[in-house]
Amino acid sequence: MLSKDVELALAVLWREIAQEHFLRSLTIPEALAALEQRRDVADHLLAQIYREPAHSRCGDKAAFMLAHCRELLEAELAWLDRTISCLQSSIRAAP
Amino acid sequence: MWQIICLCLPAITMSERQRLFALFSKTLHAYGREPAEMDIGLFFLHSLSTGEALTVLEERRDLVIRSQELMARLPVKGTAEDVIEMAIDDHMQTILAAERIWLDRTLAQLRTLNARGSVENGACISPITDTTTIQAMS
Repeated sequence: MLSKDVELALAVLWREIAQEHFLRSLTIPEALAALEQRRDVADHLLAQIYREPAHSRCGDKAAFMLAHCRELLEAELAWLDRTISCLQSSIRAAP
Repeated sequence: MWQIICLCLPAITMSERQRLFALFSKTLHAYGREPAEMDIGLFFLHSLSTGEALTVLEERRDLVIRSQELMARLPVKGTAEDVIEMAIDDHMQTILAAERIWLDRTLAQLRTLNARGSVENGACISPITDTTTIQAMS
């Protein structure tokens, strides 16, 4: 069990990560352009992972890493789709 | 994100964090790699025994759960109009949720293999993607 101090430090750390997020330094049109490019890269990487053999070699823990990459990329892609859609709506709604 | 989590442990000072980052970057550059290319928390997984890997991944899962709980307690920073703030929160929560799904799946498989005692004898380790199998193992 973590002490309260460490628990607080972890909370601060997550705040710092949010404050240093790359989106924070961009305007909405810039963010949209960056995310669309990021989506292309994520899509390309995921397609490469899907092309990898389904079963790893015997005892090959790299298969876990591949599954890890796939899980995170699928989540990233879903987030990119949601965010791009949201930003496009925001731009359309702007006066 | 995990570079920060694994190298910027809450209990170490800022100067220690900077030193860790510098050493990590220097080591990777020596092999022609960039720090962002790899997840330091998983980089050594291949060299661990199944028991050690279970310990590392269980700790990592605890960290993910605590982080999710902490983020849920943080006040909402953005309003409905503040799409960037909302997207940043959504991004962190999405990555944490995906990480937890992978950890649950991998831990379930490792525990089963460990219980069978077959891993150390060179039995095949491959990721499970079928959720029905995972539920049956839990």
